Amino acid sequence: MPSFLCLTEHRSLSLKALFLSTSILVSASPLLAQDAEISEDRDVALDTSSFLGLSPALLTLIEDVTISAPSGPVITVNGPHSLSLAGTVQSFDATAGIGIFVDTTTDIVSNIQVDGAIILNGPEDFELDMTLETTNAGILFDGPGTFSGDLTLSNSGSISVWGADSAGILVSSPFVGNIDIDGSIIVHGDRAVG
Amino acid sequence: MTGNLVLSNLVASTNPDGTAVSIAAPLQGAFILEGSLQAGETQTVDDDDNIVDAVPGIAALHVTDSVTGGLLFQGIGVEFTEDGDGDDDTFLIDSTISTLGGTPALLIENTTLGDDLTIGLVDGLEYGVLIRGSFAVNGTSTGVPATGMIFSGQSPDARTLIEGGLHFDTGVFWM
Repeated sequence: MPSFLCLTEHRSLSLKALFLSTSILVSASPLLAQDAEISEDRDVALDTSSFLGLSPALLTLIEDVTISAPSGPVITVNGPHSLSLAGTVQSFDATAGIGIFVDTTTDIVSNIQVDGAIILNGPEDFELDMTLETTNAGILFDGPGTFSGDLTLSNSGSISVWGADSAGILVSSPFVGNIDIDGSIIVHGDRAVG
Repeated sequence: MTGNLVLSNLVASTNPDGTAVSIAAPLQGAFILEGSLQAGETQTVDDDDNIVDAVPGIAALHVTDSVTGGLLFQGIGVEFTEDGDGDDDTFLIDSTISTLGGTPALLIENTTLGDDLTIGLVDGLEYGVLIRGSFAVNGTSTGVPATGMIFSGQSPDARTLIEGGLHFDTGVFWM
């Protein structure tokens, strides 16, 4: 584990309650993965299945903490994992950046709450070019499976994406749930879609 | 998508051919705007101080597939005077769409070859498109054409249908 990562893992109350229940109930319930909290800056991408395990769990990024990556998706949701993001998600990839990638290769049950910022503005000192073709996306749902859950961008949340053909939120998977956007989405680039 | 798409803040795409919101797959639910959409690039000046005309986007809201729960551009209207949340501390404000370069505020176009595009009724109402907010469409530069709304069918087998039609409930449309 990188030294800059402070991972605080704790079992949820529901899991504690589960352990206090009878063995019959334990055997009848799926084993919960451990929730996790990122409480220090991190500059390596993560995928939730590797980070949280394969059972339902919640990943929390606390306020004033940044998770960033030099290329590709910063956070990939590839399991039944919910996100609560109060900090900043930042990609330094100029042309193929993704803040949050929800990989619906299989069905995903999740809720995504964004209270912080998602920023895709290329590498440091990068001269932003509104005509440079990109596939940048703040949040991308892609794959043949169905996403079931809600996506919420609260009024403290924001998505800012640079690059031609970029997207703030792109839903390319079947989606069952509500999308509530109470924060701002601003895209900069030719043919960009909010 | 099955569910509602609710936008309560700003969504902006202000470069050439940009679109603030695109609905390009069936929406089994409602589109509700309670915030603002912006599209179209403003007039600028080049290095020689020559005016560079404003450049249109595609649309502030571009719809190319059916929306079963209609399009509601929220705000206070004659027929709707309360925000309905039971809370006197918050008040619904008028939604706004503002565009530059003549970008359409609303573009509904059927791009299929053989399927109707249908905008269903807004929940509890008798209109498919209900405007209580304001649409401001600005050509920005002299000679740049501006079109506020476009409803476009493809063929007799691929129509664009607005159930209940379009209704302004004190909504403002200026160009």
